[in-house]
Amino acid sequence: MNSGDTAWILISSALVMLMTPALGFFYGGLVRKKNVLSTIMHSFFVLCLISIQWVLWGYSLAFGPDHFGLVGGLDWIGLNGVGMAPNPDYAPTIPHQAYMLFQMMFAVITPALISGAFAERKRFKAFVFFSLLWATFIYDPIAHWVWSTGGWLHSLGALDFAGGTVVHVSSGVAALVAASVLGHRIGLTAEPAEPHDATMTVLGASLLWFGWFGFNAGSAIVAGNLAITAFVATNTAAAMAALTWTTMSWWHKGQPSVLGAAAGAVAGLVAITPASGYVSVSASILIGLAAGVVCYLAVQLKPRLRVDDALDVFGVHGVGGTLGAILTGVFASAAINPGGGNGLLYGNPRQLLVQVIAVGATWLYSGIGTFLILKLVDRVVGLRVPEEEELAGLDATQHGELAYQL
Amino acid sequence: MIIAAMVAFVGMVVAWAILPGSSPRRDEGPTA
Repeated sequence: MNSGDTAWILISSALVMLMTPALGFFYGGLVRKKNVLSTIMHSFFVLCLISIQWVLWGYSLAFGPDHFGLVGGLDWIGLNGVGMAPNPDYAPTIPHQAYMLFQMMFAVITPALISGAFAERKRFKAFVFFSLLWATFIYDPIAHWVWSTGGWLHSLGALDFAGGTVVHVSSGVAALVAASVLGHRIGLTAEPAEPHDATMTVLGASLLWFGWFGFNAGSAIVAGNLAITAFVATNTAAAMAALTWTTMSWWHKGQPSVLGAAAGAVAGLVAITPASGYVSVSASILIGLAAGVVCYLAVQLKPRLRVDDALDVFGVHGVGGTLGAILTGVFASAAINPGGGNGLLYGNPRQLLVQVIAVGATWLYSGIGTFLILKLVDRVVGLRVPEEEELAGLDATQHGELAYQL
Repeated sequence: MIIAAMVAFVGMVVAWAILPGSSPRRDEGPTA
């Protein structure tokens, strides 16, 4: 047991916890003022909902004893057997419960990310059931595939340092499917979907960036060199992607967008997530550059998809996560992390192939599974609010409260 | 104890299904 490692993981858990309400503010600023409370509530409620799901059965499904490489068993249900003794497979220097807590915060934020796609039109009740089912049947198995010692993608050698596929590809693809199934928001001609408070969004992005140090550097699970490597890569990629996105918007639209800088930073953080503990500082600059360009283009091309992904979850998380996971297979270096191995650039093309398989499997499973869950929830409680409630706003009609009494 | 905790959580989830809420959109909308 190492007290330094334990302290770092507890602090990192708190940092990652902060990301979910920060996401609520990031999204909350982007919606119209009649929907800001409902948008923030999505993130805040998921924090509560998945905290309980995780200790009761989520952690066991994701990290419990393996079944066919696909899912964990129910041996650790209710944290049975998950105590203060370290688990040598996952984190040999910290209490098993500290590792469980750290992983909980990843399970919390992932369904919250999806909520940006169906903002301003989904019933709260439907959101709650969707999130619980999605965490149980989509997130937990994918986390098992990639991070559990017996998971099939883990056995194949897939590299995902902090959740490029597990968190961002899975939620980004789910967001695309959810936006497609729910359909477009109504009344956008009379009342354009302009961000109601850009300052709130920039504050949310800044807090996300802060929390992301726990997300990525904490994923080293030790308070040592690997955490520093991931920390430096994370900050570097976020900064480079923000600069790139701002430059793209400046060139494309004639002005350097503030919201673009915030979105660019998030895109860089997403893209470096799978790579952060495997790549050099130079590679993190290139990954940030690629994220800024590719995610910006993905968001600009959204109208051609004819899908109302309200807050660009797919363009930033789906595309950024896919890009980062694949570039990990290009830039990974055993000199940075001997436990990760080399990528294409260092003479190992197989790693790139494995990364493509991991991304493809996550796209397929999350896409199909999300569609089925949405159809089930629609059948049982109904996905979308009535037209008059959507026009009036979800804060008043779903929650009976208003964000601003001005 | 674990069973009691599980019943408390799952019971609350079931309660959410029957607690008041707006009617879902059931017209020619995109989810139909």
